[in-house]
Amino acid sequence: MTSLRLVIRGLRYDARSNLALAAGAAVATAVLVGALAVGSSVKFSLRRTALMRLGDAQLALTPPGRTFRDALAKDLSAKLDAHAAAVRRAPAVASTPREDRRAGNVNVLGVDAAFWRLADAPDPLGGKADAAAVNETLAARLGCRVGDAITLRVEKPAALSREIPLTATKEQVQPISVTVAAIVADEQLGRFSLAADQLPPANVFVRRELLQNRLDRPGRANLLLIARRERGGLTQEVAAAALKEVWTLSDAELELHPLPGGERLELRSSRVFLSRPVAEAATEAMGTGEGLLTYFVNELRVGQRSTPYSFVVAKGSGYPDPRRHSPRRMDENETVEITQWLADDLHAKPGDTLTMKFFIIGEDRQLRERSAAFRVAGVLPMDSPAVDREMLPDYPGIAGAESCSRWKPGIDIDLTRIRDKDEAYWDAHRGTPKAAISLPAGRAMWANRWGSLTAIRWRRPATERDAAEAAILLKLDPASQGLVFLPVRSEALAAADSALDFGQLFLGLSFFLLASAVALTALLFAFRVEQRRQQIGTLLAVGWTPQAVRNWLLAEGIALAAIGGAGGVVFGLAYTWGLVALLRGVWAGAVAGSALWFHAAPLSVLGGWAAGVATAAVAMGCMAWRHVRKPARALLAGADDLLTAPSPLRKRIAALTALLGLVGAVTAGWFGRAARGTDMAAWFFLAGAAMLLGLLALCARVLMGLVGSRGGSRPGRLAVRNAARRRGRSLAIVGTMACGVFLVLSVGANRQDPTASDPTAPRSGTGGFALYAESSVPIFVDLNTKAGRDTFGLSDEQMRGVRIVSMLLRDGDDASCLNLNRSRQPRLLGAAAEALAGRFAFVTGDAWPAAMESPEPNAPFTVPAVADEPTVVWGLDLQPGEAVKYADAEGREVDAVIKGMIGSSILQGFVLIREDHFRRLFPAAGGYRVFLIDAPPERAGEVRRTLEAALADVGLQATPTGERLARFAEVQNTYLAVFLVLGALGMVLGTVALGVLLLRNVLERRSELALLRAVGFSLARLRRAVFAEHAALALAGLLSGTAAAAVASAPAFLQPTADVPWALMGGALGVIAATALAFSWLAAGAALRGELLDALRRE
Amino acid sequence: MEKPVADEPMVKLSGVAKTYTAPGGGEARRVLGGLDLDVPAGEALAVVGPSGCGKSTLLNLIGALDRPSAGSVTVAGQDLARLSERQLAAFRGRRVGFIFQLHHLLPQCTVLENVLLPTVPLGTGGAEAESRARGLLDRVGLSERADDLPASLSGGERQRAAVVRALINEPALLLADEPTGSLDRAAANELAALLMELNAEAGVTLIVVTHSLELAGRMGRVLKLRDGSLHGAEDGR
Repeated sequence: MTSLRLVIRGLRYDARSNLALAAGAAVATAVLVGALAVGSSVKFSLRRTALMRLGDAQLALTPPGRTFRDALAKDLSAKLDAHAAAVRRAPAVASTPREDRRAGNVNVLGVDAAFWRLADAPDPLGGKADAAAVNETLAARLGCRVGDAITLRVEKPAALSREIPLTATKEQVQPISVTVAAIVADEQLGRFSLAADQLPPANVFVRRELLQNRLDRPGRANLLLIARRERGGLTQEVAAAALKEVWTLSDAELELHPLPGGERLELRSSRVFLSRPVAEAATEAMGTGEGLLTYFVNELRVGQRSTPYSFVVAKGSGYPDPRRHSPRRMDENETVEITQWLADDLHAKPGDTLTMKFFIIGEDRQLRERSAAFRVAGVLPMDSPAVDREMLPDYPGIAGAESCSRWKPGIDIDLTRIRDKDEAYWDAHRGTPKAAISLPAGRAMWANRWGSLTAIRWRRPATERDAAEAAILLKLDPASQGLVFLPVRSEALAAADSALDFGQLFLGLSFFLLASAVALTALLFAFRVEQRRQQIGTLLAVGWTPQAVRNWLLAEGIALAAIGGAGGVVFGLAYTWGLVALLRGVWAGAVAGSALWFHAAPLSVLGGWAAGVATAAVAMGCMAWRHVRKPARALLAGADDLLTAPSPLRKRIAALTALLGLVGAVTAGWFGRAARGTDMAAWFFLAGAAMLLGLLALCARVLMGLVGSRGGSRPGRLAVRNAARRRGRSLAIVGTMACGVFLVLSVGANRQDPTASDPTAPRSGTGGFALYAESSVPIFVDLNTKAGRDTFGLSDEQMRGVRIVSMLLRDGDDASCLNLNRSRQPRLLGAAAEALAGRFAFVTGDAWPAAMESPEPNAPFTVPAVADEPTVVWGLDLQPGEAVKYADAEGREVDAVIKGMIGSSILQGFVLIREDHFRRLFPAAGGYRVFLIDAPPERAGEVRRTLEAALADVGLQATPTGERLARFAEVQNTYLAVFLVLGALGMVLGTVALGVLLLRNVLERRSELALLRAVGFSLARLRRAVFAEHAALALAGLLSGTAAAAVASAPAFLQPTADVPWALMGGALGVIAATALAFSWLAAGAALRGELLDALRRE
Repeated sequence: MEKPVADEPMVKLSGVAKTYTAPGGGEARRVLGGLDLDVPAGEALAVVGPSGCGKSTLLNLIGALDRPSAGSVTVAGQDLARLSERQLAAFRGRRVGFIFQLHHLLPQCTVLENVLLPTVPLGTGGAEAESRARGLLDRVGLSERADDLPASLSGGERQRAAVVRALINEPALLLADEPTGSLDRAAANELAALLMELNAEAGVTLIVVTHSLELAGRMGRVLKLRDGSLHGAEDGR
């Protein structure tokens, strides 16, 4: 005989008791497996989505605002022995030909066959040049099918930022008509995106050449993808090393070409300005050459005579170290050399004062005209080598123009000022600078954040061009040109893996269900142990230690829990399937509508089973410890504890606790009235909890008072006296029901409807703005100015009362609650802090504009940032004071330190920094894409329609701020609904436990009931008595919990945004009450079944 | 079977008192008051008395199932007050065999398994113990029922099985609390004869608490418990 044999005997003996215990453990396991498997399903889905959006791509090269040769993909592929694809991508607005349907935020991807190989998918574009393949999302948004024509309005890239004067902004959108050749499935890279977001983007794929040609950038790509390679080892470092070997100056948008005569080499950029790293590297590689800065001036004047719109070059051999090019004040004795043509035109001679007017861009982005005066030092003959048409950089809109009248600069120029002689000069000399000043003077006037040189020249023969290029490339860091490989695959998987753990979330949401299942298991186990009390007594009497007996009982319990748990796994998987179905349906808000697939990871299933068994084991261990404490003689005698009168002290303690609880509730409520926001909710929750405590103490006091109460033998009176008999057990029933109902209802009542709030309140989550808008294509004008409005044909009347806060946007991951992935690089906004003064409510940190003031002027790569609380805490998993890391335009790490945190708002998902910091760090990021719009509430709808129509070409889409907040609130509201439903389900399961308690109570009293039966009580009467006792306890619990929950939820009821789910809460309460009564009635019937009188005979 | 040191009684009670206090407070009730008792090894002693006089309490104290409120209980030379709960359990397993009014056999185990239960905590439930159990079952006429469940046994058979269970660890002291209380007359006689045989043949010390004067009459000495004190039986054997 061994303990194991005894356990096995126990398992084979009492089938009903074993089954009940196993069922309890099965429910607990099912809940755990369900919750964990939901977690694994969400994680699996996120990973699958992440891999679907990237295909086989492991690394991506995506220099912001720059392009490279598309042949770079082939060069890298050969060097790395890995598949690579070059892509040209651009933001766009897509529409049907009749403009009846339009979609903003569309990604146009110019691809070739190499791209599709990343997903082992066939090229869906076929042979037609104008063919397009749309993904399912865009097809749904446009309602288009194969064969339909669609129009894409694609942002046309500028050679340099459109904020630079001379960069055309009026023709920034290029329409492209294409025909839908295929609708690409998600599995075939249809949802291709680099952003860690589970929501599918709107993609349209066209031939790369088509897009490149229509954007006037043949052969240029701006995204390079490198696939995983079979043998592995493809790291960022390996790829960066390969890039360093195969790249050319063209990949850095640079050109080194021999000047006419073949004795000099010139380095210039298609971006017009040479950036600081380029100038530094070139100088280091080639030595100091002659630096040029050629600029467009509005006017050159001597006395009363002027020449309009000309180029002036600033040049100097031995130009200053580009690392120290801070603007200096102009010297009063600055000189200028002018060409003979200009001298003739201005009647100028050496010694005259020449004044030049030119535009610069101010800190506020506005063009400002400045002027500077120079003394004419000399006149250059037109055949002088210093008069050089090669000095004109590739100013877009000018350099290639056939005549001055065809110039298309980005600034307003008065073409009527251009004279015939100007046209003749253009015909003869093109953009040859008409004047030359010193480089320091030029840099003092025209240096900007994109650079302070337009070319560098060295006296080197043309034959040394290749060697010179190699030397410059050797010194130039690709990262400084934005050519940095991103580990997109590992980042995508990491974002999915570190996403919100839905396993834990559902464990939390299923708390009551789990607690009820565990309580039920514990009760069933206790029931089983009580039924074996004489066996326990026997074993103790024959020499077993209490611990050995506990181990025996526990071993049996654990074995049954393990068996039950195995069954629970099956139920758990079914439960998961159900939850996933609900998350795809009515609870889709909790996962922001992302695609979900059922996936039960073996570890989740095994973990759920083990946790279920362990949880049941702990509960049973507690019960075993409690029940084997009794002495053997008491267990063998089978004596029940007799009804004992509570001591006066206990009665006083109960009464005092009740009083304190109720006084505490009133006090906390009083403080809560004066509090605000979360403080108010906390005070009222405390008031509810105090009230609950008071009511439970009151119940205890009432039960104590019932001991020895007089009365007849009517069932009601019997019930009352029996309820007082096992006061601890009765109080447990009341307490369990009350606590459960309290928590479920008080949490569930917090549903919010932000659309019901006053959107004009500046401190609310809307910031007082009526509309939130985003454009697909940046806007470079200020819509608050007449000029800006005129750009889009907006009249003053249409914009009456409208004020717009425009913000710069650096695309990244959505860090709002709508993105389940953990955001790595959230979308960054550059905002004028002053424009936001008085808006939104700060939870921590100073308010605007102080919140974004730079605290450390000597730390240029540390910028203060503001974000809303859900973004910081949930989206980024950060605390105020911690930093979000970005890489600036030159690949350097930038820390956006969260200095201020605002409450939940329409800015959820973004990190905000000051606009000037943004422009300094990301000069290529260009214009505004996010807009917060003030509009009179009664005209908000009209303003929205007007703006969307006027800015259709840039894909502006506006949303009422209340609606935007509601989208975020929907996630929280869905969680609350899930908690309410699962909590109510837990409470229903808890009523089963109530039934088990009833059974225990009745079976313990079976002989007494038999006596009552013997003296003439009918079975029906006894059943009513038993039912009444337990129903009264359950209802007392329900009422106490509901009353306390009503107090705790008072703020939710009083808030204008409250959206209390009355029907759901009422339904849940009704179901809990009905099942409690039903189980009490059924358990009473079951307990009284059989021959009661046998029990008496056994006595 | 183990025996006490020569000349030392198997059971020695000195000034043993036991008082119970009601769970809800109230007045304490004294059940035993200052008992002195010596039971020599190998004696068969019967304790009789009216219901509630403390007979079972006395047996529980001797069997280490309870501790006295005052006085000392020494069994086989061991002062029970000095033993921890764990040691008391081991003591019960090795030195004492219990027979109750109700057999308290585990319904899920066979007769043989029930008999072997006391060997489990001692780790002696191997083949040797099984052989000994079968021998004892044979002796009480239950060899054919060894593999049956208790539910299939008659009342007398269950009680005989309980006796074998009490003897499996070869205790020096056998304590029987109303062993024939739930048996019919024939079965009761049969059990009484068995107990006397064991006492005579194996020399096991036997203390029986009973209402049955017939059973008490078979014992070597009869004591009457009255008002918390032991008295020599006036109408003993």
